[in-house]
Amino acid sequence: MVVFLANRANVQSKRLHDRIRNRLSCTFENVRRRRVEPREAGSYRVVADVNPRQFLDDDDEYPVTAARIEIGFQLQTGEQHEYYWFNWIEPDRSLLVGWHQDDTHDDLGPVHLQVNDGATPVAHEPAQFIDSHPLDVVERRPTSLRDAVLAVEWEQGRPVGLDSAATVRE
Amino acid sequence: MAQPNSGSWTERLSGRERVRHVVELLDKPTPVQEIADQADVSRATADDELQRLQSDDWVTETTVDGTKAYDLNPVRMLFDEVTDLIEAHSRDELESQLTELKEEQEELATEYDVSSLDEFREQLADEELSAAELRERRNVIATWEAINTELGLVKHALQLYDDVIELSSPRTDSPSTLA
Repeated sequence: MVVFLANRANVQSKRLHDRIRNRLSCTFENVRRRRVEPREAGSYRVVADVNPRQFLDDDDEYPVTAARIEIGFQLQTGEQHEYYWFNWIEPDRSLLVGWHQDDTHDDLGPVHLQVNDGATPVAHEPAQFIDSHPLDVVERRPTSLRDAVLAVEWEQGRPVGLDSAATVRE
Repeated sequence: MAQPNSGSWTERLSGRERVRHVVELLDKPTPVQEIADQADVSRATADDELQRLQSDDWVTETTVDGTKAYDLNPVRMLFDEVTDLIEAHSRDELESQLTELKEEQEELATEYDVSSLDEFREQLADEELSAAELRERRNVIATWEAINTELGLVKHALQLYDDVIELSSPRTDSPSTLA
C-alpha cells in the first residue's frame, strides 16, 4: 500500500471551512465549500446564496435580487495573524464589497474594507481588526455587512466608492 | 484586540464547543491558559475539556516552558477525515473525485509547464519575479497543495473503503457461532 502524507495545515483548513459551511447553513441557502481558483488567495471559500432584499431588509427597493457571500481563511501563513476574505458579490452588477485581511494594503492596517467593480478595486478604507478565532469572525462580520453594502456609492450604474460616514468600522 | 460585540460566538457556542474549535486549529503545542483565552473560557473548563479530548485521542498532552500544554493529534484528524469521506460517498463517487482531482493537478502542470509542484516551487526561487507575480504564484501553490491533500485523502479512503464498510456494518452472525 502506498502511503500519502496529508498536509496538516490543509486538512485543518478543509475542516475549518466545513465548520463554516455548517454554521452558515443555519442562516443561508445553498451553502457550499469550494476550492479556490489557482489565482485566488488561500485554499477554500464557503459560498452562500443570498436574496439581498431579505438580507438588507430593503424589500422592494434594492435593485438586484441575487447575491452571494464568500468567506475564506488562510491558516498558518507564517504571518502574525491569519488572512481572511469576507465578500459580498453581486454578479449582475459586477460588485464586490468585502473585508480583506491580507498583505495588499498594509498602509490601511491589518484589515481593510474594499469595493470592486468587477476585478478592479475602486475603493479601500481601514476597518477594525478582529483578532479571534475564524468562527468568531464569521459570527461578527455579518452584523456590519448590511451597512457596508448600502454604503457603496454608484455613478452611472457603476460602483465608484464608499460613503465612509455610513460604514461601521467593525 | 477585538472589542466585546453582540452576536459573537460566545453567544452561539458553549465554552466546551469553543475549546474544541480552538484545538482544531492549533499548529503547535499550546499552554492550557492560552487555549482557555482563545476560547474565552476559564482555565478549569479548558483543562477539563482538553483531558476529555485527550482520552478520545484528539489531543496529546505535553509541556511548554514547564507549563502543561496540548497539541492536536493530526493522525486522529486524518482518520476522521478519511472515515467521513467513506461514510458520505460511494466507492464510485470517490473514484470520480479521484479522476477530477488528478485532472485539476494535470491542468496546473500544463498551464505552468512543469511536471510537479516541487518543480513549480523551484522556479519560484530561481526566477526574478515582481511582487504581483510572486503573490499569484504563491496562490497557485496554495491551490495545488490543497488539491494534493484532497487527492491523498481520497486515495486513503479508497484504500480503506472495503475494510471500513465491513467493520462498521452491523453484525448479523448468530451468537451461537462463537459457542
